Amino acid sequence: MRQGCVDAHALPDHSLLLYHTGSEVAFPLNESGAFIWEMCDGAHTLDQIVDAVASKYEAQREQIDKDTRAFLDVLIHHDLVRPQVPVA
Amino acid sequence: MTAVLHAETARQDVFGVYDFSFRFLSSSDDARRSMRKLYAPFGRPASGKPALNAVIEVEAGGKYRWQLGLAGGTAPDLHAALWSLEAALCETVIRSQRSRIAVHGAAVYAGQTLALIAGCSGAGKSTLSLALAKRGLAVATDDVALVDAGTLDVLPIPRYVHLDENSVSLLHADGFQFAQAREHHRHITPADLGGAATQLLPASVLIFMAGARRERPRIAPISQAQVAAHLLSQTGQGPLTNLETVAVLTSMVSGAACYALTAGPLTATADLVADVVLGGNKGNCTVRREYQQ
Repeated sequence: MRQGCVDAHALPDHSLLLYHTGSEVAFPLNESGAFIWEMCDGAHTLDQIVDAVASKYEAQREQIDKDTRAFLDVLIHHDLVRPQVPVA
Repeated sequence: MTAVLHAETARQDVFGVYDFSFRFLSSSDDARRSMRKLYAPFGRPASGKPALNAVIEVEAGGKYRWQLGLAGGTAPDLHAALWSLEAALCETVIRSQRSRIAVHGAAVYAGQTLALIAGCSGAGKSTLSLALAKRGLAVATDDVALVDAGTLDVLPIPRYVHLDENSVSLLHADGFQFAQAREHHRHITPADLGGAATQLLPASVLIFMAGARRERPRIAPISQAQVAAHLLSQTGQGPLTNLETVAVLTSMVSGAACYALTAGPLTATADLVADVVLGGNKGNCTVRREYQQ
């Protein structure tokens, strides 16, 4: 789930600039990173995000799974997203 | 302490740097000539009373006292006094802004194309700027420019070009004719580099100088978000909030082709950058659409 303290600016080349208003740090994301960010809306599970990335980009599914999880870890580490516990 | 003016000989000029104006007083013809060369081509002073007095005077012992408002100091020679005064003026111009942010970068023109070359201090912006001037580009500043939050126009702040001896020898090797530019290499101004009579335009090419110098220069498209983040790191505290500053920078990069430059030998680097700038933004930033993290 995206944090509310993050200001996101989508750019014409499909990259995205995230600005954390608390830490005052900017994070540039490339197109695939921006795609994943957009899916962090609380409505998609991690597996659904990996599926969506795999259907959009041509790469080994295993690699995409690994990279997507690693990328989300980075977003969590910088307090840009927070993990969401699924509601039963 | 106030600089003592030689009342019988001190004369004054009024200069404007966009909407900031100041009165320069000195009995030194060299100082007045140098200040005119730097500031006079950058527009007319705003109407009304100048905001501050700037002074350079000779003190007993041959040292020079410079003063801007309440700030001031002593310098061993006129060049050093001019540098100190000009640096103080640059800071004051930046602080006087209400709707413009300052970005650390060189502003280089090729016709209607304005390239902003950003990078940390010591990245080589000044040396590269002069090498680009030799290749027919107009350099309006080698150091800092304002960006208007409303129009996104880039407003170069006129500065003396500061070069160390290494830069001078690199430029000599590149064929830069110092004698044609000025009498002394420590006093090069945008007027010497064809960049004094510039138009106010948004930047259409943004180049960020990054990384250590390599054997061969490399310029490659990077994302607009990357350049916006780099520019943010080169933007001082200004009149806008951080969020407003980010919004201005993202708007600015939205209309520009964005590149990362790793410098190499000066001649090859300048040739490469000149090609990009002279090509304008026709070869728009290539977007890497393949999967990448």
